[in-house]
Amino acid sequence: MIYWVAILTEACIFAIMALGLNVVWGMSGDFDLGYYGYVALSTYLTIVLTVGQPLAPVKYILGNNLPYVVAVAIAVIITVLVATVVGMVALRGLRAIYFALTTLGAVSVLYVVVQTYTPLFNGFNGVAGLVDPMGNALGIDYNQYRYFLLGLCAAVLLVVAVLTSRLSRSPFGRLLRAVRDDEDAVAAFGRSVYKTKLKAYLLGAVLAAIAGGLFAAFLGAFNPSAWAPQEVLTLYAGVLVGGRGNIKGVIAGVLVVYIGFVELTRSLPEIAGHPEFAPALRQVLIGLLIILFLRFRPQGLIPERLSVDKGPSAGAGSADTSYRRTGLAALAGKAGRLRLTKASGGVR
Amino acid sequence: MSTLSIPAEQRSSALDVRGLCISFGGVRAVDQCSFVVPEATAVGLIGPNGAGKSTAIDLISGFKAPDSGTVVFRGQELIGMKPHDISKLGVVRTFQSPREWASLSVLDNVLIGMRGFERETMLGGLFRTGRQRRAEQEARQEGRELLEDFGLTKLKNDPAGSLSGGQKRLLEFARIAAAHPSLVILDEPMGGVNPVLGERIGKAVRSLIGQGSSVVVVEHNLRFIEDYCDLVVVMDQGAVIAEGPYDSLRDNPRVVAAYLGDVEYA
Repeated sequence: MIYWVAILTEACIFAIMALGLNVVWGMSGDFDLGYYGYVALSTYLTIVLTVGQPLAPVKYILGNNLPYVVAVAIAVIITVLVATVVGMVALRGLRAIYFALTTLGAVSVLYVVVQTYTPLFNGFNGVAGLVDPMGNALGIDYNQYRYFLLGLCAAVLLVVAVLTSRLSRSPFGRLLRAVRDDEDAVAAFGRSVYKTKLKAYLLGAVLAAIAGGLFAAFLGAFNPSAWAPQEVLTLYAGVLVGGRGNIKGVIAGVLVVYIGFVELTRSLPEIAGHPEFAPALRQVLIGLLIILFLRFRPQGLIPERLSVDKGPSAGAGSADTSYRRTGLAALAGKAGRLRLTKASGGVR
Repeated sequence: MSTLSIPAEQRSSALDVRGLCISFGGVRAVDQCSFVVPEATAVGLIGPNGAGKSTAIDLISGFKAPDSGTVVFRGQELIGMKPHDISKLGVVRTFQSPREWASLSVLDNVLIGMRGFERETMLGGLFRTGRQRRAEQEARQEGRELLEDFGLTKLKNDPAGSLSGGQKRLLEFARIAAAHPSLVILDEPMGGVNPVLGERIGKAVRSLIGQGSSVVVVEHNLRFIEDYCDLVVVMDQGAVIAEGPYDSLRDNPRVVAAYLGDVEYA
């Protein structure tokens, strides 16, 4: 029972991350490979802001004894500041693959620095000691606390889901999708593509950081073996399988990918003498899942829906149209256009 | 409507292009290009392939930065400004292909064409403020009326990417009309357009003029230029070689040599 409570809690946290990624990639169209770095940074910060001073030989920065909620708030602010710097570099004039590479570079730097520079977050051994935050204050014992945390994560997920689906249907959501489809045309109609993308990027970082704060409470400890930049691919799998741009779809996708693949593959029979086989197979299966969905159902399980105008003078037969977006084409679209522009530039 | 009663050449200038130059590698794509677009006037920008017309448009609209030269729109220097800031001044351009936002509905395309950027704040979207909702409802009503004007009402909830080529052109003009622009720069609006639709596009150009906008049209279809443009600017090898009303250019030997001579007259 407790096992499933833990899995559901983790799924809620990953769903919050995926909803943030859905703003950045699903709506705004930016293939951010550094996204998981914001989750990790916020997880580290939440822990070092709550567990007090380190005892030698353990070393880490800050070491405050702040209440958990305050610590998460500060972690969110710092994470967003870092995302602002990365976003200002990566979103200004860098398109598609160049943006992706820049964010991958940023998260790789973070990963290596966290691993090797021990005074930051105690290097490879990581930080630990966050035990059931808010549990004492609220008078919740160890067993009840698992349920409390699940409830908290589910509640945060609900709020995030409601807010992001509002955003998705709002004029800002429409503008993000327009930027995703054709950013030059958006600029031609008076909107700053850079500012629009940066706003979405920072909102994504806020959600990543909130998820990181919850992750800290869930795990209690964090070190470089608990995360790696490529974790983001599993998040992409969730968004893609569920339905890029669709809030319900993204949550469904996370359930499928995390519970279906990550958790159920744990119960695969172990091959004697090859303990690393099952985890490796899991990665292979997730990769396969991404490829199969891109090929056969790029719109995901629950596709993105067009906004439907129900106002007066609605035309006949203008029923709700769900439609197919070719995922690969959507991924390649911007790069393709860039190539075209370049080719014509030289000849004139 | 006093502007329209003055002959095109004597109207005050909306856009003043002076000495634009840009080189790509060793090629001078635009070379000392200068011309004037009067207020409430349609100017056709013609010339053989490679004359630098599209590059000139990119320079005027801020999508490319020139090596030298000035572009003044209603007293405001545009060189050095970002494309979206130029657009905010009321200068709206199109591209050679319609460039609709394919995954958005037809009505949503028109709504992004509209100004009123304060509707689009992120916090307003997250918390669904009353003010934003009211502004959005008004915008939707205007959008529906525009789609009615362009005969796209039945398609308003369809993804724009699913429209035919001609319908995409109409949507492009609905989008422009939604922006209430002061200057419209059209890059080959007749590309892939049948004659019936061409007339409709011509009328859309004239209706922009009627509302006091100026229009620059880059177009290879000379019949369209003759029918709907007040003045013509002819470019060749990056420079302007002639300008004036269409009829005055028919017998201009430089124009004939550069362009009319080797193009089939449609």
